[in-house]
Amino acid sequence: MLIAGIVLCYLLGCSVVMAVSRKFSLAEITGYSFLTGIGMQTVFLFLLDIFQLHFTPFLLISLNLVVIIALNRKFPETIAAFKEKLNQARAGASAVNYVAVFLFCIIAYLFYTITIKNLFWPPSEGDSITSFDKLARVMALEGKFKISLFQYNLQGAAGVYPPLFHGSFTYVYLFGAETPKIVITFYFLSLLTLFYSFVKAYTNTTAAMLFTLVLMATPELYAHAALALGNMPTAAYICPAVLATYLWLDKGDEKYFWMGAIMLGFTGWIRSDAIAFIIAVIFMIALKALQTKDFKRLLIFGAIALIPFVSWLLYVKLKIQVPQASRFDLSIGYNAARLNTMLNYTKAYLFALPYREVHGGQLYGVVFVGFFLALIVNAAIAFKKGIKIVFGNQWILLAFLMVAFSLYFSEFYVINEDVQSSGIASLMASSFKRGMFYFLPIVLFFTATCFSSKIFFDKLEKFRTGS
Amino acid sequence: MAKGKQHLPSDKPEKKPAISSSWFSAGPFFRSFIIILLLSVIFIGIYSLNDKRTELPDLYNELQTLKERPGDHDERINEIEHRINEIETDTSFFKTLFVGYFDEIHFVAFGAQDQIDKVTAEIQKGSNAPLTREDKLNYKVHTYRLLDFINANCPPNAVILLPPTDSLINDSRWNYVYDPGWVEYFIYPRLCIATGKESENPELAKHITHVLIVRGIGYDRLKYDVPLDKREKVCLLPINKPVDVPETTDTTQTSN
Repeated sequence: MLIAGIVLCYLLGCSVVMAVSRKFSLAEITGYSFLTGIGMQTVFLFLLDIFQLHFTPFLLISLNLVVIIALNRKFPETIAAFKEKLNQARAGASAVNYVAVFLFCIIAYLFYTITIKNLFWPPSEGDSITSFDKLARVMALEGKFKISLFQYNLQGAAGVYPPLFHGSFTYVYLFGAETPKIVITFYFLSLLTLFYSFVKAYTNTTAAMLFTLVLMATPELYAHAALALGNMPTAAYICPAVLATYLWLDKGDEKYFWMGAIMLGFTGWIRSDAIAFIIAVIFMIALKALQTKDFKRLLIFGAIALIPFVSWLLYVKLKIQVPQASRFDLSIGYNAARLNTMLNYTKAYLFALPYREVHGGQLYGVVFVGFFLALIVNAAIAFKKGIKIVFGNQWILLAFLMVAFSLYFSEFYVINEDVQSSGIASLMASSFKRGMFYFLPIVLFFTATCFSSKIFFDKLEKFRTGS
Repeated sequence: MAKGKQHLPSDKPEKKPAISSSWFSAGPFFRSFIIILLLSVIFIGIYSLNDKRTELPDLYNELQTLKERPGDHDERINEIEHRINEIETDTSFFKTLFVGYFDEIHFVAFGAQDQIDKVTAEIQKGSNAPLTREDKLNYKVHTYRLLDFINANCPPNAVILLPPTDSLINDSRWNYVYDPGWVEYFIYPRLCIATGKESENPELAKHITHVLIVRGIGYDRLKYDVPLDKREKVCLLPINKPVDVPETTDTTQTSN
């Protein structure tokens, strides 16, 4: 039954992806299908809840079948597209890239070991027990979002969080899962396959495989691939939301516009604090719209990206109606001590330094240091060759990173410590630290595809092939 | 389409691609081998930068054992603490960039299956019964038996008053049995409420049916008196006087 649920999820996601375009690669289809499929399942749960229908596998299967059939009116064309992709893959396999195969074997081994660990242990993390998994189990049993625990304030902090993450747990529980952590494995797989295909779009297979290994092996991220927490899954949505949008802006490929918008919509559907990234991506498009005067695109994109976020806000306000103090204290003004604490933690994370109980190097390895190094090297090259040649459209990505990080930092600066029942130091060492995941794929993508990396990997490829 | 591409004899022959279409081609294969060798050296180098850390689990285990065992082990304890400090503070900037990778590869990637086998053997204790979710939770959550006891001895509509936070917060053995948000996960559909927080949830407070006693704390919340000589350290008692003998747990041995 659980396998049927997962297959259904992939089929639904694949149908949406193929409706957007049949020209996605197999890696892209694998990644987007799960993220879209599981996101859609939670939208179905939401709709069932709105219409006061009790969640059941039968209702979900029926809804899925209706949408899958509706989206597959041109089924023979889809099959033909798949056949073509398989033929292409087979043709590509005749010229074996042994280096990429070697790197793939390491990735596969690391993925296997973290998966057996993930699937062995049931959720036991504090946040999962007090919130995510508790909500999911009870939602599956009671068949609705506003479960009985809300009446006694026993739902936990995630009760008002957008439903994608714990909703995905509910979905697998409805299909008979004993523990919900199988979805964590699929989130991780989607993150890796999509990151690989984005880097591959700009470099070669060897570089894409190497940087996928670096992303996967980032210590804190790898550890989270075996935990029932929402940060890694959020990173799995933010990565394609940002990079697909960037690909559309840079290469003008229409299919990435739609996938970027859909993924960004789901970003607002998985975590409220990801609004910083939604605003930053819309800012990225607004910058381009100012150049091209194509404001219609901006409006369509903004609408798709914001509708899920706004729908959930309205649902919380109108249906859940849990009295809650504001999470943010906007009257905070300038607080030197608070700012100093935050900056010290930020420095530790970004520059691989120790501060109090955390050590940026141990958490994120070479990722951020590598990014800054790449930035300096490329800035030096740009000094000689010119900014436009070296950075090209990557300034959009850098602008995105600056805006997203500033907003993310500001969110924590104005966070209300009393409402969170936690001091700023503790929040920086836990929530902020885990939120740094969202930046990992983006900065690694920059490092992998910057001018100097491209030159290096082109030379390596020439050496490898002897051309 | 492919047919259309067939060349006439007069056509220029297509330039051969750099990579041979055969599965084995000595040139690219040899060059790939060199790159793989180089990558392997880099990976092994990174791994061995912090290989002293492999000693840490044994050192910590021995330290804990010695601290719990009566007798004079000061010399060995000092020795171990010195060694741990030496390893943990061996942190040049370059090395610390790779500490996380080492821990992940050594303890998670290489150690995951071993750890699972060890835990499985420990839980199964010789039997071959497959492990259940409950077995694993019991292994991981050390108050699980107490929570399970609550489920076994309360009706599904029970409301349980948990022990006060300040009486247990400094004792990790009772971690979170005072936190309603945490306990609820294990006892649903039963409900629970924290001592001292009744005013935040007056409706629930009105319906308390049981009191969870831990470390002998909570007898004052009962609506009847339990003689001192009959007071268990850990038990679950109905808030109103029961007709028969109060339920007591046998979790004191494992949880205390």
